[in-house]
Amino acid sequence: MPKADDFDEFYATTSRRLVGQLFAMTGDLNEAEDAVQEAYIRAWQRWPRIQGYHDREAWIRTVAYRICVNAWSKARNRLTAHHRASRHAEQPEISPDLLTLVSALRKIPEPQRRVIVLHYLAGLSVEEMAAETGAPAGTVKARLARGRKALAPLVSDFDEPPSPRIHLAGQSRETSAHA
Amino acid sequence: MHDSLRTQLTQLAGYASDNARLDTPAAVRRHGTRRGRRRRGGAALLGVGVVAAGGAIVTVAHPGLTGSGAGGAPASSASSAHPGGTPASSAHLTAYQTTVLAKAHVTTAQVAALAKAGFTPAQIRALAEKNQLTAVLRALLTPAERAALANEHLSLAQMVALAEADLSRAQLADLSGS
Repeated sequence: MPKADDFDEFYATTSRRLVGQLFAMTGDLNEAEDAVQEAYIRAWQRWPRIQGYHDREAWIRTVAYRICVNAWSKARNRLTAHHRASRHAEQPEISPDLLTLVSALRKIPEPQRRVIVLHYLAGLSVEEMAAETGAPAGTVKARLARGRKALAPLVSDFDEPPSPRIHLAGQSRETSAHA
Repeated sequence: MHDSLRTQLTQLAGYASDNARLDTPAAVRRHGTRRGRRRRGGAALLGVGVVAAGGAIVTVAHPGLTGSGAGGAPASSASSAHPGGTPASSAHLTAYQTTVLAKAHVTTAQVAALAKAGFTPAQIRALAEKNQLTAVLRALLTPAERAALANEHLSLAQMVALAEADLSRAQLADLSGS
């Protein structure tokens, strides 16, 4: 039998953080909750294997993200959300600033939104994002730059963050090729 | 709103984290376990094993291994007397093990045959995980083990149940009567 204590501790320490990240990626709290919980259910079914992974949180995040972008899952989640109408009413209202940010994030393409969240929220380097998304590092950097550029006029002013190039010594050729 | 994008995203994620309605870890595990059992074709029999014996239907009203026409008596008599699942000794089955095996209609005769053929707990787990009985039979098993599997007509669901029950060497030896 898999060890429940390890799973419980992992769930307790990571689940809410991952809901936050998935919410930023999807813009829908209920969808994020459902996807994250579904990912944990799948993790428990494979726990003896996943327990040994170097980055279990990344596994959950990737699975949850795939669930979110799956069209069938979206339809199911909408139905679930409909059934949970009473729950929606109980949630505190989101502030206008955050609503603006959610709206802006929804306007940029999903791959750009994903790397924006992975970089600024999950704190992943370009290399880590490339590993998680399965895209080349140059593509990741391009998505990050385009996403930031697209968000700039939609959100209010934000500080220009340090270039992701600092995480990638020796990959300047790729950066210039995709910039 | 003059914060950095990172700060704004952190606030957004904080809102979601604070307001997320998540199940407890135990509930998540229950979902996963139930779904796994459904996928593996486990019968929806809770504590009641039904098995055909000599043309008649015999109902075993406790969570033990199902007796078979081959003469296998429920091997769980010791554990069924301990519904809490505490085995009387390491060789006796726990309530969990007997329930899992009874649901898949695994008989004592079948377990005994596997044990006599020399199956180890690791081999039983491998068979269930491989999900490809035929290929595994050819590659991994000795003639005696192959014959035992063939004679007992074990289905994949039954192998999965055996793997899930995770019988120890002592339990297998006990069931084989050696």
